[in-house]
Amino acid sequence: MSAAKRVSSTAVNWARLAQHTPAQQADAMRSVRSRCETLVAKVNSLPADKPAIDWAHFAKTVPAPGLVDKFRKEYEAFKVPYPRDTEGWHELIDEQQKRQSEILSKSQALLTEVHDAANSYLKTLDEKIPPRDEWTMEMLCLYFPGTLFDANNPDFNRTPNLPEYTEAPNKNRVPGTGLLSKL
Amino acid sequence: MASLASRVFLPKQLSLSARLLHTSRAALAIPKGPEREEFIDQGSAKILKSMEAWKEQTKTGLSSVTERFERLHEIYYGKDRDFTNYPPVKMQPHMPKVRLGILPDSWFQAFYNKTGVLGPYILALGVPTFLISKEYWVLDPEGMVLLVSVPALIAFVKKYGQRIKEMEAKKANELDESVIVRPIEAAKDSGRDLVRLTESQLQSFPIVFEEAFKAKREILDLQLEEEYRRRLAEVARTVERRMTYHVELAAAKKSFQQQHLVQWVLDGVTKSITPQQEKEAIQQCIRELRALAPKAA
Repeated sequence: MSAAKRVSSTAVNWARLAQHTPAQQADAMRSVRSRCETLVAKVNSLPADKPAIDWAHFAKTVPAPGLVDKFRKEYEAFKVPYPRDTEGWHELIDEQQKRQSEILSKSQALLTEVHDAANSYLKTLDEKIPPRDEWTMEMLCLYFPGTLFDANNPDFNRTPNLPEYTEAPNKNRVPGTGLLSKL
Repeated sequence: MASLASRVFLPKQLSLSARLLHTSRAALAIPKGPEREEFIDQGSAKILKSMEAWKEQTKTGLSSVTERFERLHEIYYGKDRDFTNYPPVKMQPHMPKVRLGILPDSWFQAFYNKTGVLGPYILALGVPTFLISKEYWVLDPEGMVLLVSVPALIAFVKKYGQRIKEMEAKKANELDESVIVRPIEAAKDSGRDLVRLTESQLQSFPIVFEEAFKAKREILDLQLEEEYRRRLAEVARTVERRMTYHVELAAAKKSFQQQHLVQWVLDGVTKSITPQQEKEAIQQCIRELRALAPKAA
C-alpha cells in the first residue's frame, strides 16, 4: 500500500452530502458520518509522530552507564511500520465503485428519458388543449376516455360528481323507481 | 524461599517489532465468492430493474395522454379544420344585449337602417293598437289577468333575477371547473412534480455517489492511520516503561541500602549502651526534672 499518511480530518463535504441524500438514506448517511467522526476523534487523540521521551531525566537517574544512550539510539532508529491493507479492501472498494458507476450512468439515462417525457407532457398540456370556452361534449368524451363522459361508461351523462348531486336524496335513489315510473 | 522465587513467572522481554505484532489487531476478512459479488453489487441491480420498470410505466402513461391530445388537437385545430365556414362555437360569458329585459338588441339593429332608432318601438306600440282596434286581440275579462301577471313577473325578475343568475352561473362554473379545469391542472401539477423529482435526482445522485465513496476510502485510511498511531504510542510506552523500571530499580536499591545502614548504626548504638551509662542518664533526667518543677509551680 502507499505510505501516504492521511491527515486526521475528513475530506468529505458532509453538509453537501446531507443536502443531497434522499430521505430514505438519511439514517445510513448519518451512521457513516458518525463512524467517520469517531475515527477522526480517535486518531486525533493519538500521537501523530514518534512521541518525544525525556532522555535527560533518565540520563541523570539511571545509574548504569551507556544504557540510556543505547536505548535512545535504538528508539530513534526504530522505524514503526505503517500498517498495510493485507486483505485488499481498497481494491474491493475500487471494484465496487466501478460497478456502481456503470449502474449510476444507466440510471441517469433512465431519469433523463423520464424527464424529457415529462417535459413534453407538460408542453402538450399547455398547448394542445382547447380553450375553456370552446369545449364540447364530444371533445370531453374523446379527450378523457373512461371517465363520466365516455359512452362506454354505464354512468354516462348521469349526474356529475359533485357533492350536491351525490348526497341524499340522490345518493339513495334507485334508478327506474322514481315518480315517472309510477304514472 | 528459593523454590518460591523459582515459581515467579516473569514476562518474556519481547523486541519492539515482536511487541507491535503481538498487540496489533487482525484485519477484517473481505467477503469471498458470492458474498463478494453481493458486496460489490449492494442490491443495485435490483434497484436498476425496478427503475426500468418505473420508467416504462411512466413513459407509457405519459405518452398515451400526449399522443391522444396531439391527435385530437390535430383533428379539432389542425390543417384540415375549416375555421371560416365552421368557426369554433364559443360559450358566451354573458347573454346577448337585450332591451326591456327580453327583446334582443339584434332585432332593433335590423330595423335601424330603414326606420331609425324609434322604429321598433313604434312597431311595438302600433301592432297591439292595430290588433286591439280590429278586435283580433279581444280584451275580455280573462285578459285582465295580464294587468296583474305582467307587473308581477317584472317585479319578480327585477327582485330575484340577479340572484338566480349568479347562483346558476356559479353552478355552471363549478361544473365546468370540476370537469375541465381541475383535472388539467392536476395533470400539470403531477407533470411538474415529476420534472422536479427527476431533476433533483439527476443532480443529487452523482454527488452522493462521489462523496459516499470518498467517505468509504476515508474510513479505511483512518483505520490504518489509527493503527499506526497506536503503534507509535505503544513503542514509546514500552521504552519509557523500561527506563522507568531501571530508575525505580536504582531508587529501590538506594533506599534499601540507606535503611540498612541506618538500622545498623542504631543497632550498634543501642548495643554499646552499658548499664552504668543507663543509670547515670536516668539520674541526670531526674535532677533536671526536679530543677524544672519549682519553676512550673
